[in-house]
Formats: sequence, C-alpha cells, structure tokens
Amino acid sequence: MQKRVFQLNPLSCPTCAKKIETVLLKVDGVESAEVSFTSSKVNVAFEDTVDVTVLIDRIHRLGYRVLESKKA
Amino acid sequence: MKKQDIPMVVSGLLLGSALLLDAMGMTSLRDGSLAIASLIALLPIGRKAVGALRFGMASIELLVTIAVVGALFLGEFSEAAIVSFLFLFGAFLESRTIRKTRSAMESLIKLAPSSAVVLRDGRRETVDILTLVEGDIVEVRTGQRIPVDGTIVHGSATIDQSQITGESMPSEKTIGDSVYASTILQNGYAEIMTKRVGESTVFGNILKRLEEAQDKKAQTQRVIEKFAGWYTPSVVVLAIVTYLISRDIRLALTLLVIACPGAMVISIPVAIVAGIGTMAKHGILVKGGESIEKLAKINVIAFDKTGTLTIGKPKVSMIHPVEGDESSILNYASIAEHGSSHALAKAILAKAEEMGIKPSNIASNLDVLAGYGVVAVGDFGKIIVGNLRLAKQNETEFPIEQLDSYSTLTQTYPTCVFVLLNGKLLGYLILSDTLRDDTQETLVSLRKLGVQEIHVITGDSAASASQTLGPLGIDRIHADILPQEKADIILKLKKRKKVAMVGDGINDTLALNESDAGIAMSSDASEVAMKTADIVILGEKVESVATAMRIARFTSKVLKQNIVISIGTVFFLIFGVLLGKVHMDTGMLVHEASVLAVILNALRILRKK
Repeated sequence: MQKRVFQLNPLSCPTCAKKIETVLLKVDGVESAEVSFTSSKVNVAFEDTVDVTVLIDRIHRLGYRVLESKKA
Repeated sequence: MKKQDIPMVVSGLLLGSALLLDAMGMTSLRDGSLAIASLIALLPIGRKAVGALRFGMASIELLVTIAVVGALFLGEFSEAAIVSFLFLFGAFLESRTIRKTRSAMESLIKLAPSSAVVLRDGRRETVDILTLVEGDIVEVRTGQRIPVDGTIVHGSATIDQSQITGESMPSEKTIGDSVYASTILQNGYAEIMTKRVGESTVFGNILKRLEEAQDKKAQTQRVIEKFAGWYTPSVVVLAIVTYLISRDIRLALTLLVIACPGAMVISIPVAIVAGIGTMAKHGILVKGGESIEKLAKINVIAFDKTGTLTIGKPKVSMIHPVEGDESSILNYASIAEHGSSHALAKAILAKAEEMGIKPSNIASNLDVLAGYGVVAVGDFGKIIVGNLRLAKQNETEFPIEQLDSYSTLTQTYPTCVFVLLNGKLLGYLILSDTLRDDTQETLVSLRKLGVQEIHVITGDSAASASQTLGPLGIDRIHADILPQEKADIILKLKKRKKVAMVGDGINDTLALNESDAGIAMSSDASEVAMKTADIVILGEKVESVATAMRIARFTSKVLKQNIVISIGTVFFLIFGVLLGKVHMDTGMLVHEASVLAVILNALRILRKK
C-alpha cells in the first residue's frame, strides 16, 4: 500500500475534482482518491502493483497537469 | 497573459466587436464574429469534454459543449457566444478568487525558509533546506529566519518565537538552547546544530496539520456533495424529459447549461479554508471543518483552572506583618530562601525583587524540611520560613489563643507562609495562583459571543479556587476534582448543553476527548495535544479561546449563507428556465455569479479578528 500526493495546477470548476477522483478510482488497485480543490491536491492510496506514472498520465489525459508528486 | 487564457481573451474580444458591428447594423458580420467567438471558446471546453468522455464520463464541459453547439445550429449565435465565454471567464475568476481564500494559509507556508547557510569543512555554503541532515551546522544572522529545529552551538541571539509558541515577547537564546525553524533571529548571531529538517520540524508539523485540516470534510459538506452528485444527472434527465414532452430543443439545451452544481460544491470548502487560515494567522490550529462547526455551536465552556485562566505559578498576593513591616518580613524570608528553586521560594524572591529588597545577608546554614519549609541559622539569628505545621513545631511566641484563627486562615488561604525570627512571628505571606492579564476580558467576550455558562474544573480546594477566581463571576467552580473525574463532569454537562473544554492538553486529555469541542492551550504544538484536541492554541493567550470562538461562529454563519445562496440559485434557475423566464445566456451568468458570490462571501472571513 502506497500513498501519494499530486499537486495540480489551480483547479477552477469544482466538478473537475469529482472527475479526477472517478478516473483514478477506475484504475485497478487504487484504494482511494480524494481531490481537495481549494489546495488543488490529489491524495491517492493504492496497491504496490500500481504504476504511479499511469495515474499521472490519466490525470494528464483528462486535461490537468500534475506539477509535483510526493510520497505521503 | 497565460497561454491557457488565450481562447477566453480572444472570444471576449470577438464578443465585444460583435456589439460594435451590431450597433453599425452589420448583422451578418456580427453573427460571423459571434460564431467564431463561440468556436474558439469551445476549444478548451471541448477538449476537457472529450478527455472525460474517453474514460466514459459525462462532464459539465460536455453538457456546455452540447448546449453551445445546439445553440449554433439553432442560429442563436449571441447565446452560444455568451454562454461559452462566460463559462471560461467564470472559471478564470474562480481560480483567482479561490486562491485568495487560501491566502492566509499560503502566507504561513511561505514563512519556512527554503535555503540555509551551512558550515562544512570551515566553508560557508548556501544549500537547499532539503539537503540538510541531522548534525549539520547552519549559520543564522540578524533578521533571518531559522531554517531548522536544533540547538545553538555558538553565539547568542534574541529570537522572536511567536510563530511557534504564540509568545509575543522575543526571548534570549544562547549555547545549548533549542531553537525552532521559521522563528526569526531578531538580533545577534547563532550557529545551530541541526536536529530536524523540513516536515519533521515543529513548524513543518503545524503546516502538515493545517493541510490535513482543510482536506477533512465537514458533515454538512458530505450532505451537500451527495446532493450535488444527484443534481447534475437529474437535470440532464429533466432536460431529456422536457424535450420529449414539449419538443422544445431550446428549453432542453438551457437546462443543460445550468446543470453544473458549482456553487454548491465549493460553498462549504471555501468558507472552511478561509476559517482555518484565519485561525492559523492568530496562532490557533484547528483540526478541520467539523471542529469549526462544533466550536460554533458551543454554549458552555469548562476551563481547567491551572494554566488556562491562571498563569499556573504561585505569586505573593498579600503580606501581613505582625511585627515589623512588609520589607523586613520579605528581607528575612529571602535570606532563608535565597538560592532555592522551590516554586514558593521563587515566588517570594520575585516579590522581594519587585519591591526592590536585597537580602541583607545570605544564609549558609540551611535546613530544608520538605513539606514544612526552611530553617536558617546565622549572624542574623534563626529564621523559620514555613507553613503552620512548622511554625507550631518550633518554640515560638505564637499566641496560643490565636492559633485557632491562624488555622482558619490557612483554610481560606491554603498557601500561607509564616516568617519567624528567633522564635518571634514577624508575619505571614499569602501566595496564590494569579489570573492572566487577559482572563477577565476573555470571559466577557465569550459571554458576548453567546456562551451561557462558564465552569471551572480544578484540583484545588474550593477556598483556594474561589479566592483566585472570585472576581470573575464564574457560574460554577468544581473544586477538589481528581484528574480522572474531570471527564465525568464534562459528560454530565454534555447531557444538557454543547460543552467545550479548555485545558493544557496534557493532564486533561480524557476530558478534552469527551467534550464537544476540546481546546488545548499549549506552548508548543505537541503531538499529544494535536491528537486529542479539536483546537490547539499556541502560546499562553487565553484570549485566543474567544478569538477561535468568534472566527468559528462567523465561519459557520458564512457557511450557512453560502448554502442558502447555492441551493437558492439552483432552484431559482430550474424554475426560471422551466417557466421560460431564464434563457441560456442569463442562466450561465446567474450560475457563474453565484459561484463568485460564495467565494467572495468566504473571503470576508479572512478579515475577521
């Protein structure tokens, strides 16, 4: 089990938070995903089998940039 | 201008030129300009819509895209252009203002220095803070912020520690003293041996808690989010049903435009972030939105006496001469107590110093009797400084008939110290815990804020407690309470009221836990206090209890207003659209305005003192 915090560009429409959460939760092995749009951060918890770059890529393909990825 | 803002600016300009063309009567050019404005604004919206669609998700952007494209097909060029432009412009303003709600917190985060001057092999080197390790010696000069938690190994300095301890007076630090990251070296020079860096410093810990605090969702927030989660699909279904019944494609598209639950989703978090940040600015750490809501509802406050309302250290409050005067009593008392580190001795010496009395002699032949007092013998004679038991034991000229009255005295004033010289009673000193300077004021503010009852829970005797707390007008003093009984009192109070407990966070964790809102006053952000308490007040300011309460009440008020604004807007829009009073462009305008309204409303919290 791993935990990560992704820092995104400032989010505007609050529904993007929901979108990002849904997309990440669809990845096999992702336990939880929570987006705080006031701080524009994503907190994800996932199994060790999950590749972090896949998560970042998914967020990217939704149209949001991950500026920083930190272990939590 | 940022690259991502270009479509918004261009479509805005085209929209403006369309107005001019309209005034000049060039209708076909006007419509062309509007159509291009719509398409340009649709570029970023459509891209997000497609992005989400690839994951099988229908997003708000998709709904807006459908509505705008539909409007273009219907020949409603101005509506299409206005809706798509407003959607981008709204998002632009929102991201800007939302950032402001975090400004109080951001300004705290910026306090942490990012680089440090490290001394390695006799050379100075400026390095990134994250490359420092335990044991590194860093150099800090006048005006700089200390970059690490550690110990001074060289030099001495005046340090403003208000950021960590809430203490507004700067303190003098020298070799061997601990210093903390983010505090300011006001004057002097120090070389510091690094103990902790970055997130593991006390300040880093505070920041981490603050970040966590804003991620914690309040109860109301979950309810609203659930509602918002249902809202969008319901409006989409409503749009389809409306179309099937009325065959009015325009009406259906207008419903899609107002399907974004924007204001609802952000109404609560923006208020909470502003509340948490504003409290942090005042040295008050709050666990999260839920704690703010709980604190706002409190109507009874119970204080643990020692260290909250009072300083927690005894002070000489009265001197009663029997023979001689005040200064001679203090003189003899300090001869005997000189150099002692006992709390009572310290209080006596402090009083003597305050009155400008220097002991005329220093006792060398001392006999300290724990639990009784001290006996000193020298050129000056035999001095006894102690309690009634010690006074009685020694042959004194203690008027036997007055003994009874002295016993009564010690019942009222538990800490009564008798001073005898050569068996003669010179007089006695009464010591008591003293109120903080801001205690009275705080209780007045709390009552003004609507706190109905103020209780004090203390382990002291009733006599002693009422002596110190007498002038405050406390509703009820629970005296002679053992630490483990404190929680029981809270439980009893909780049956009728919403109770906050204010304690030091060490001896009263159980009571803090049981209360509806636990407030710990702590001189450092200790892990224990942060875990059990909803609110941690850094430093020794009891006044902050009232400040926390005031900000919590206001935040909760703003929060309720925001819920009313957002839900009200949604119903207004749905009925407005269904009744044909609200069109696509005004619908988008009202929606974006409501989003901005809840953000601006939350910004008011930042100005709260």
